[in-house]
Amino acid sequence: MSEQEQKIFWATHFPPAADLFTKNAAGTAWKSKPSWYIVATNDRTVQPELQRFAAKRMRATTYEVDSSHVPMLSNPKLVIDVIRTAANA
Amino acid sequence: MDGSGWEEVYYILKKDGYKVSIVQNPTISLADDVAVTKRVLATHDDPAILVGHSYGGAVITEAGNDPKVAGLVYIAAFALDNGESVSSLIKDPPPGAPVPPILPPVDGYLFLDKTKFPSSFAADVDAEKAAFMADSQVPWGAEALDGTISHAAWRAKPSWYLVATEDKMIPPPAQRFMAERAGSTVVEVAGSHAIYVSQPDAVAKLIKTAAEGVTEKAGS
Repeated sequence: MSEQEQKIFWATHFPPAADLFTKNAAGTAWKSKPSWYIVATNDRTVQPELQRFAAKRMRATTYEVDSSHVPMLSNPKLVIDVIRTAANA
Repeated sequence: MDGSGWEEVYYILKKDGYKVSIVQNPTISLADDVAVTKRVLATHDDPAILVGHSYGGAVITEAGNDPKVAGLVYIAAFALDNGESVSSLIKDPPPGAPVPPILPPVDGYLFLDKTKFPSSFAADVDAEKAAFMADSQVPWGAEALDGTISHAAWRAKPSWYLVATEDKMIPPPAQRFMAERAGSTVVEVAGSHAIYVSQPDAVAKLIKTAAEGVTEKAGS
């Protein structure tokens, strides 16, 4: 992302509620539905290894992209392609 | 609406050296949004100008009591008075006034009709962006709409008001009434309710006027 994009992102981001990270998900949709996963390999927010683990566990069709935590901004084309692939599956 | 529509206003003010934060109102309840705004204010060291658009006017009217707030800027917004809520103000629209296309609540949350959104909310925004805004609406909670003002900050602090003269969500006469009641310095700009998206220069200009206005006052 450009410096300008980073600044607007920082200014507009939501602070997550503190219990967001401690609550367990109530239902796990990937157990019964197909899934796709984009691993961002330069992610400093969610470790790439953790992303790979989650993707493998859910047997997602997995893509890796050289990106920070926001591939939808840095690599929108790939993200669109993956969503299209999912929609057409 | 979420804060993304403020991007252009943000760039202008940053370029002019202001520290700018955009508050993402969850719009579940007024009390919540006031708390979220105060949390953002706490990250600012200097006196701040609070800017509110539409329902955001209710939020800044209440959150504006925070000692850090030096002035209020209303952009086609609800400058409510003590004991008022947005719902109490919009329940009796004047005859002939355009009615906002608010759909009946679902689970206590309101949305605007997507098909009518561009013409009602954003007639001067390009069609693609207006569609994005319609499809990325933040659900509007009944408790946000019904939240009443305990103490209107404009009673004690200076305010500025931008009347959008082609607004089909909040009728311009209602905007003028609220602005006059609040004793605001008023500017009128031809534009839709989404004027912060369609005319960021005019909106940023009024915010700068407010910031300069309170600075002069503090210095005198």
